[in-house]
Amino acid sequence: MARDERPLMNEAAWVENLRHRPDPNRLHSAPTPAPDAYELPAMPPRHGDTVATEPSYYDVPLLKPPVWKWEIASYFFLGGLSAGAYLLARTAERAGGKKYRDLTRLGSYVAFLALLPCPPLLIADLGDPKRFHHMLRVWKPSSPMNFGTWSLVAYSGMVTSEVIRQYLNEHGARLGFSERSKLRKLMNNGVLLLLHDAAGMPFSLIVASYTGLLLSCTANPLWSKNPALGPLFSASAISTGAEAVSLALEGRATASPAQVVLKKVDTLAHIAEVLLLGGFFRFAGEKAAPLRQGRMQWFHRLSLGGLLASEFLKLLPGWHRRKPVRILSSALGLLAGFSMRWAMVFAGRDAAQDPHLSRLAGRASESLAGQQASQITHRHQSSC
Amino acid sequence: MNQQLLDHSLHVSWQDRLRATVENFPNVFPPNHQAVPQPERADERQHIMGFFTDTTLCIGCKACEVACKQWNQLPGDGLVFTANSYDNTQHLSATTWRHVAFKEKRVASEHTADMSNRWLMLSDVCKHCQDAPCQHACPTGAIIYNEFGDVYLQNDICNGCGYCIAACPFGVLGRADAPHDDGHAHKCTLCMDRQEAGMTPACAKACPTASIQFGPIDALRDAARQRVHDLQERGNTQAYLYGCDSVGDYGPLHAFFLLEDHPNEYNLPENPPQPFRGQTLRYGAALAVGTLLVTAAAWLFGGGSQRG
Repeated sequence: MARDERPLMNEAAWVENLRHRPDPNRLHSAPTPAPDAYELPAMPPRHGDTVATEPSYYDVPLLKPPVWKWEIASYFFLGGLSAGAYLLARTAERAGGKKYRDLTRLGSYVAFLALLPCPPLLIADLGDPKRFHHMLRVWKPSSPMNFGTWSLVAYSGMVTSEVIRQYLNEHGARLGFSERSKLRKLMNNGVLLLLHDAAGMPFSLIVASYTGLLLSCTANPLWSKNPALGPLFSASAISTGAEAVSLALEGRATASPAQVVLKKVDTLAHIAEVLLLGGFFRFAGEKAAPLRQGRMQWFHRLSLGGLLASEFLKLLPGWHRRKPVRILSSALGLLAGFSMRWAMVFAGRDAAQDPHLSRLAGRASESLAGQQASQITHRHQSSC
Repeated sequence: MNQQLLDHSLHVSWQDRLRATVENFPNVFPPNHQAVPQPERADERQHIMGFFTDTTLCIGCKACEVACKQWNQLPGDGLVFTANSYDNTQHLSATTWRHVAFKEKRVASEHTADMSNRWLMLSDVCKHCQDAPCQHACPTGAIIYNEFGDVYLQNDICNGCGYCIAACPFGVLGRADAPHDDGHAHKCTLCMDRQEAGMTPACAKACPTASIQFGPIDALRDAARQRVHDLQERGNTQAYLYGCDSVGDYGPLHAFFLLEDHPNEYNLPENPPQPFRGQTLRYGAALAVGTLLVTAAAWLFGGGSQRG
């Protein structure tokens, strides 16, 4: 046949046969009836439990590593420090009044300064930083990251207004705002301050702890469902906040009475941290190996060692009268807090890339809570 | 509605705009229940579409990978073969939404005295979990359940925070970082654009053995149960369903599988965790510890240890 006499492709006879044939890859909506009383076969058991004997797909990791790096580790530290400092500053004013005025003022300054780099760090960490405002597109409290972002925004407002108030109280006369001026009266109004604290302190508590909770709500072997992570970050926030404000108070000529109390608060928070770290390791079990023996092991040892060293320094006789000892104790505590967060983030990346641990994460029965979970009603695969 | 938005010449009155804004305002508060079929309701379940991937029929041709990449304009993965076999993608990622896994096992042969190879082939895909941790995690509301009951990531909202990547217990999502890509997370869309046009998803359409089946979830489940029943009768006692009803405690998957060996052999988790279960309790514990320490601090600031 001549070239232009051949039938077009979709008009050829053989195409007609296909046109009305049902698509073998698409099931229709009328389901075939299921076999009666058929018990579905269960998942085969694992034939081994150790790295050498367990089933694996050529040791390709099952999970993806988290994309968070130094920006997020630094934010965890600074955000917690800021929240802790703010909490202690407000607590000191509420509980101790004018006696701790320097702590209240410097605490709010420290909280503000520590908070300043936080939004840029978070925005820089995003894959598409120019869309950072999408975080505030919805109100979704079931997502810790969304709830935490909104809390961070609210907390920032609280800290900023508090800093302005403290600055005006201290330098207001020089700027033309006397004690009787409307602005200062408004800012120091008792009722408004009460409302301010009623909102500000819960927000700062959330900012201090939501990051640990965020890590626990992932599938990562190191972090997944660990109930100690949120409380650990909370305690660490209080301790690093106390240490930072303590260092700021060292800049004053005379020793402040607040220092003694701050050190006691620091000690309490450190005790809580050690207990919670123990709880963290007990829950994680074998999955905490990247912290104990991975590339982050020295950061982890520094976090624990620095914390203990900072406490041991307080056992020295007359430590509270010796400025270098006080400064060293605070600095070690801050280093330990930063190191803990750094180790936690980067060990999480290591844990997800470890094939054995990523398979362990997918076996809920391995951990303590997992054992309890598997005892709760287990849905049978036969009842499809 | 989409067509109207695209057609700039169409005049929309301010009254219509106001009405649309007011009517859509509740969609600001997720979850959006208006169009999403609820699996608990039998009348809505007919609208849920999913995948049934039968690995006993898979021949490892990778037509599904190619079709997916072609339809979604995704870059190739190169020709570095993994391990012992023909797997050149290794795992699902931001640019690989169908990944064919090949597992060669040495087993005792049925017919000779030697060992022989047994080849497990699986076309891995996003599981479109009924209770998806990625959807729960997403802070921007980019990940939603769409009107087909599938988990869909809206690319114009995602800002690449990476939370979904950490939350997925199957390691499905990935982030394609700049400068190669846009920095957003990506995953299988279950060809939502093809579904909206009444077409079959690209991978299911391309599969020559009908190993990948697409259709209403109940029809798929019935077909899967029938298939496992047939295989068991024929003597394939190792065949079972993964995710048809539930994977352990996790919940059902709208893209489920028929497997022949332990899930870890295919790089699937045996009992994946639901990371957001117990979230409220953990929140409470964290806030309680903080409150406890602040209360102790208040006692100390009030002169507590010096009293008495």
